[in-house]
Amino acid sequence: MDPKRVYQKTDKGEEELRTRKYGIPQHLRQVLIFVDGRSNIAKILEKAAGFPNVGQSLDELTQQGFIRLDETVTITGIKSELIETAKQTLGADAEKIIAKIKDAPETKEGLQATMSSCKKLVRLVIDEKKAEELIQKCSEIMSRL
Amino acid sequence: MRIDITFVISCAAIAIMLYGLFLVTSLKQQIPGGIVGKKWNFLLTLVVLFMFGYLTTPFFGAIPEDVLRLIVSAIFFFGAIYVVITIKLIYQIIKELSE
Repeated sequence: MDPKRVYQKTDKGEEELRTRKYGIPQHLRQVLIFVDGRSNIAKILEKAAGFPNVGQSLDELTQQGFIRLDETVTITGIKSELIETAKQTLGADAEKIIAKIKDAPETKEGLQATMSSCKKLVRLVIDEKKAEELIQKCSEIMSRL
Repeated sequence: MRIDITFVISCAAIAIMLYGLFLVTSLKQQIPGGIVGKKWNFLLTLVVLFMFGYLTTPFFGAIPEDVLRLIVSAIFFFGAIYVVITIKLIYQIIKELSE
């Protein structure tokens, strides 16, 4: 479960909250309330810290069609994730890479070209192994575009 | 020590080499590793070595001839290594950027 992903209620979920038509258990109902279409999974887990098995409840709600993962992924969101990954992988040496990602065009192709250039830069002046690690992690993030 | 054109050229060479040493150490901070970083440490060592060699040039008149020959041939030898490493580095950078 990717903690950065966002769940949103389906029409069935909205209906359940309004009418209790499907009679879901209270613990699922509580988690359904936390799903607001803006908070990511990490945030939901934080809000529902006092409730048991929130992750499992999210899975159950998804299986029963009350919520679904938001498939709309924004370039800005992807850029933030790439920056975070660069920080984690390169530490103090990430500064130049972060600047390049921030300046990248707001298109899929532009971002791909920037990441390719970042890989070359890391290979040349930071670390060859870290370049491979960074590009592997970034490719996973970019695959959602 | 006689101040003539040889002495002036030697002093100019030392000044330029000092500037080179400043550049190579400044850039080192921006190149922590990678393909260039690995070679950079070796280039830095060679520049330091050249610096010592160049510093002897104003005293060439006072150095015994066999020691002088040794210093000059050593500078030529390491100079050749420096050239090869620099060319190979440029080649690797071009290769990396054109992939």
